[in-house]
Amino acid sequence: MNTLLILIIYGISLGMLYFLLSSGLSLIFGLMKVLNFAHGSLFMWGAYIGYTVFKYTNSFILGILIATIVVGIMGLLMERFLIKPLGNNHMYQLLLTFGLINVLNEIVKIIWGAKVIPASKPQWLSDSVHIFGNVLPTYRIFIMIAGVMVLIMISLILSKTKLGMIIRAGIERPNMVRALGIDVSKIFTIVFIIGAMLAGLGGAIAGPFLSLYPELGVDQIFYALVIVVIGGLGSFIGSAVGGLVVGLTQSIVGYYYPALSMLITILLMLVILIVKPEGLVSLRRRGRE
Amino acid sequence: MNSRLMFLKNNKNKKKISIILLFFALIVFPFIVNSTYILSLVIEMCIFAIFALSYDLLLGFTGIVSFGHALFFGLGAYTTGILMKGYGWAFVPTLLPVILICVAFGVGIGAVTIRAKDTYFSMLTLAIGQFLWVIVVKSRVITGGEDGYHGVKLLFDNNRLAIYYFMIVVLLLVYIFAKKLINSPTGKVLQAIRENEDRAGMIGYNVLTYKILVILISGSIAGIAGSLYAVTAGSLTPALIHSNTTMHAILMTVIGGMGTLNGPIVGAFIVKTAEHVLSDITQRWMIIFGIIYIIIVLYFPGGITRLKIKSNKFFNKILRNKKNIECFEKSSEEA
Repeated sequence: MNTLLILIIYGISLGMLYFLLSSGLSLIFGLMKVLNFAHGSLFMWGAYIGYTVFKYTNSFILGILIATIVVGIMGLLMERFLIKPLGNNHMYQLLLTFGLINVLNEIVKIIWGAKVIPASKPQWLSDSVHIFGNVLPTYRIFIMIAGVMVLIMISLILSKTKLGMIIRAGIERPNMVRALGIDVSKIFTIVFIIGAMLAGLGGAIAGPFLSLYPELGVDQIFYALVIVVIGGLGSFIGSAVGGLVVGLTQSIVGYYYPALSMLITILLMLVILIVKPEGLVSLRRRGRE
Repeated sequence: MNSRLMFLKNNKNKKKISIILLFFALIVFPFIVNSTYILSLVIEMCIFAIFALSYDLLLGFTGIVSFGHALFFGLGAYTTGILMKGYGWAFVPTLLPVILICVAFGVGIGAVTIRAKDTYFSMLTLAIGQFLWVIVVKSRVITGGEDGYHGVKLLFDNNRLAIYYFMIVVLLLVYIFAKKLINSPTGKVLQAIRENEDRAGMIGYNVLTYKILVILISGSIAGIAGSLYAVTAGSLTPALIHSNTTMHAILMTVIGGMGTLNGPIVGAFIVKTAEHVLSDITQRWMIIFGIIYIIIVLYFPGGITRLKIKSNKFFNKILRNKKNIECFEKSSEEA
């Protein structure tokens, strides 16, 4: 029983990490219908920048902040110069973001080298606490707290502010929002920046947990895609639900049968795709569109 | 009018002559260069041209974006490799299981995703491709894992000249097949789906069936390309299934020109040549292609071959104007 409890706590922290990874992707898709395949690479950039800032300034929090801001700026540039010019042509946008993975990976290799870098945790997060006779690293707790904070903050923005209202309206009835005279293109840019910032934040937090290597982005986009399919593509809450489902399954199955952990994730996705193609949490009610 | 017809006829002749010349050049090519290295490069080009051609059937002719096309390539390569080395099969019989496996995967992926949305197909192909990659890396006993699978018997006892001619013939056959396919009624429906899926459905075509059909045709061709790779390279690595290999196919197709049959072949030629030239200079040659690719997607989505077609059209226009003026002058003289 104690083992199961600790596995659940591990699963939740992993799920929160997955949530940070995939929420930006889902948010961007929900509003703009652009699936940013380079999202995993932005996540990787967040991890590398966070690591570098931490290495030179010795401040972990500053690292996370700067990673979030820099990746946010990358998102702004990407949206302005690469996504927007293609307008509504989603096929070319898919092709473009997929090609961008390569460019971002190669730049990482040029700056930081192709070798694996074990990113270190800050002193105050490398301890562990004992719960029910089991060891729980503080870093897991930190990931959980950070994930929940982001979840609450973005949910508040979405539900309480005017911007959030426009975003929600834009996801449900984009044409109506346009008809009301709201500058949707500006909202697109803002949402893309928020999405990229979430990736940067997630990456900086995940860096010490996953260790850094140039293929990190490609490996992580796999999980991000699985999670948004399970949770519901385009739904912010869905990415949290999907992240938790995948995190819990992986942590529990991974403990008993380590080899099956990835297989079970894929199977979960296939089952969801067949049974409920719109995902666990879908914003649109069936038959409306 | 008569002179215009003559001109067209002349143009057709020119095309015929250039095709014959190209063939002649391809036949004598090995005797001119006489270098195994360059022959190997051309062989690799042919394999990747077949792979890119299969990708173009999906992307360029039906408008389906797949990010896991390398999974078919890898499936073909590993199936042939394992059957030949592990079970002592000859090369040609392995093509049957390769096609069967690729068809099974194509139908499976297609059936699950196509109904949902096109984006799902891109996502799922990427996810399944990466998943398969992990499986190949992890199952060391069967596939050799990260170290790769070595010692597959080479075609024609590695006689590069024979392999060269063989590859040219296979590429030609695939090209002819693709051309027949896209000019057939089925091919026209596929292009209609690319132009407007809803309308194609409303006319009464079963869009789903056609899409799955093209997925499994293109998957099988990619599988065959993988098999050919296995018997010419002799050793296989999991990198064949990785999304980077898919990226190669996309690069070739997009740089050459989506929706043309010459495009992927030209693209394969350019990318492979540049790969061999640039990789001597810098390890990070992919970044150059990444940037070129992005510029092409943004500004010249037609690719390189389309640029040529456009310039041809341009010249034709000038010529036609000239002819018109001549005709006009003649008629005014007569008057």
